[in-house]
Amino acid sequence: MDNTANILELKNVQKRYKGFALDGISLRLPQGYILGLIGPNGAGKTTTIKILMNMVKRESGEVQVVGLDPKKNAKQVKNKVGYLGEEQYFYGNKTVAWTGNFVSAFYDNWDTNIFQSLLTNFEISRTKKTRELSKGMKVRFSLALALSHHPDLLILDEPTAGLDPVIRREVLELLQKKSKNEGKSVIISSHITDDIMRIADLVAFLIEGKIVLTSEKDELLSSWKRIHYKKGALGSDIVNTLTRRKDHAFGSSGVTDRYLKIKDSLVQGITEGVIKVENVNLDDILISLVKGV
Amino acid sequence: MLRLMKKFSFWYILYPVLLLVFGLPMFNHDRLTGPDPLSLSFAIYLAPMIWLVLGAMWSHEQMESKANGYAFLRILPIEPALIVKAKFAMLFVAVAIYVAGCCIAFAFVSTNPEYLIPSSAYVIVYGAICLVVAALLYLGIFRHGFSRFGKYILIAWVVLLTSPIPIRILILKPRGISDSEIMQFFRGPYWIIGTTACLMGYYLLMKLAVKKLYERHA
Repeated sequence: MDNTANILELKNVQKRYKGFALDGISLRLPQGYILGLIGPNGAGKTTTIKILMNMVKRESGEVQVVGLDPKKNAKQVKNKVGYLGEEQYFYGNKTVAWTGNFVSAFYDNWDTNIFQSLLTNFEISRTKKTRELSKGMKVRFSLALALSHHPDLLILDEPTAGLDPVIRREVLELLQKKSKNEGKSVIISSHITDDIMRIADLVAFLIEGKIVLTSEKDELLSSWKRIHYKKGALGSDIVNTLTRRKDHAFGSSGVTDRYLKIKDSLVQGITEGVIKVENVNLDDILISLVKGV
Repeated sequence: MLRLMKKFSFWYILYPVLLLVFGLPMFNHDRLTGPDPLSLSFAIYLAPMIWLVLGAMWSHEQMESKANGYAFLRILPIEPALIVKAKFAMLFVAVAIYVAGCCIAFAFVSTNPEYLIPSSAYVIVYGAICLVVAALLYLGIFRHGFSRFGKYILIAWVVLLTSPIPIRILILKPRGISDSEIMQFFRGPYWIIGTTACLMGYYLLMKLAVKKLYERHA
């Protein structure tokens, strides 16, 4: 992965608002990968995404999207990027067909065949006015618009928020297919960690305007484990590093981010049945990072 | 830009066309009574109606605001400058339709240059001033957003549309300025200079509006 060219790179990017600051974030996404940007509400995910789309101007730092600085080349960047925002905006009194036709005029690589086939696949009526589309249909339609100009990169801001599980799954599977089969890169922000868990190759945790952790998802899930232990089964050096410690019927438990380093020292306890190791999900990691001990 | 202009065209075409349709009875009146070379009556009534173009601007911006048009356009590969240019171009088209319609109507009344030139010039100058005022209002929209600034367009629209009456009563009448004296201005080169200055101002205000929209997007 290290040798792969980056389709997206942020270096020490800053943006300040009253009561909130994006504090020198750095991030990179190699070509062909899916990056999940995870963070609680108000962490700065949308601001980060909007900086990538030049919809918010950064105050300092460097940003490269598809090899270009969006601040200086907003039009070219948008031409090569498929964007799906938190909210879907269309001219409500216009039809799906009109909107597709209108949007097509602004992209260099618009592919009407792809657009038409996506509308068919998504079962979106071309004659329907966009205001008559349901939330799920609007997301599907936005996705059809975002994919019809052969984007190199897809930037998705909370795309599945408010969707029912069937459409959510459908959207995620489509993104995964685009990445695996066509080598498209995707950055997807969400506070729904299940979505990221399902499709992302890389994850970045954004908390209070700071990137606190970036990693390959599989590596992350191998390093982070919940350890259940009986009193005295773990050395205090390990216990002190656990987060989210709790006492319960089995004894105590806590989450570690260095399982791969301590795993050998746990073998005996596991054999004796005084230590149990459990997988964690991205939610657990997010909560550990937000709340700590 | 043509695609954007087409999108923005509805109100900017509708208003001037409706204005011309409503102006026709006046046109017929002048035609029946015969043009008076010393009077600008037809032009004097038709020209201030151009302020209704501000209504087109208000209707257009209200529709854009309601439909989140700016948010929609922002995700597309469109330079904000193009959006501003398209809006200013449509405003110009709206004024041009009305002005051209009036000038054609004047020509139907009489082709006598003593009547036709000052009457047409009167409407042209009004159109040019209308463009500058509309451009200033657009600066306000791009700076503050339609939701905050829209009401000022309505206020300007009502004030300017009704302005000829107080101007006549409070300024022209007490000073004894007659229509024929006003007409003198539109016979000389001053109206051309005034119109050119207004159009240059309109162009410069468009440049400034582009800057304001970029700043707002930041």
